[in-house]
Amino acid sequence: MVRSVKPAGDERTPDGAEHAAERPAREQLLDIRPEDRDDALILFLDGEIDGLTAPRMRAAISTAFDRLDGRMLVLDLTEVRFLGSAGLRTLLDSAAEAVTHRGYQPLRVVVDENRPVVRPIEIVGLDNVLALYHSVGDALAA
Amino acid sequence: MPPTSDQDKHPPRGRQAPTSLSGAPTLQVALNAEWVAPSIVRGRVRDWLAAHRWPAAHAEELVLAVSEAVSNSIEHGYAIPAGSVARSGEMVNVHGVVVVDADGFRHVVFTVSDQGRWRAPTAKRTTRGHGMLIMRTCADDVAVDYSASGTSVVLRSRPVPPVIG
Repeated sequence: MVRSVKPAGDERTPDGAEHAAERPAREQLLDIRPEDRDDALILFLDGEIDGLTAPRMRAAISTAFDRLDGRMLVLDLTEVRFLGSAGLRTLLDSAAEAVTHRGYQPLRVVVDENRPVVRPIEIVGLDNVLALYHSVGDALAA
Repeated sequence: MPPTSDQDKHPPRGRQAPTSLSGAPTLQVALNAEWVAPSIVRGRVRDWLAAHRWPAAHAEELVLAVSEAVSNSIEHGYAIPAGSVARSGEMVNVHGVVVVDADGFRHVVFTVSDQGRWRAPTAKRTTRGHGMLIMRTCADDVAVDYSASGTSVVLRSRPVPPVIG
């Protein structure tokens, strides 16, 4: 199949009259900031986790796993404003990878009461699978 | 601009409402089937429902459901790999309409359609199970129609009270 490379902003309404001008840049959709501590590596995620950004989240987690050196990995999702099925899958796979394949401590996920994250996690039942915390402090102390 | 709604006594008539008028009775967005599309749709649906003064908690559920339907079209209808650009002519269409019920309550019906070839789920686990579960939880009714010419997902919301004032 031939792929035609299209310009970035070519979503149109059906009449073709208007560009969907609000096309977000990838950098704006999800920001991932690592913080190194003696006892933990924390990834602060800020933005939206969907099929566009989940691969970058997965890559960041994979990189973090390689750098853990015995420390725990904490994901802070309290600033995440959207979590779709691609992000849920990444959380599940990462949690499973930590324990099953790497023999690490369980992945710790900080969600507090952030509804855009808690709601999808509860819908698919991952609240029974993931180690969820109210704050980074709670996660580190657990 | 104050939001318009179906409750307005004087809807704009006799002129073509610009598609940027987020309070229009219907929402119609056509997007190239690529992975940036769900985020664009989320913005459009959020704005449109806000203009209709949809209760925020209900609106976020619908944003989530529609986003999953669009993602489903991209991932399973067109099998677009992450990070790739759209192939020519492969589109996802999102249509929304506010329906006023006899008792004055309102519901919204979203239709997300593609012209992709539906692919039977493989043994490999995918995100589809989660996506369908989210759609079924966040909408009052979900109807999925798979055919040779494409897939359409119709999401009907729970009813919400009429706008007062």
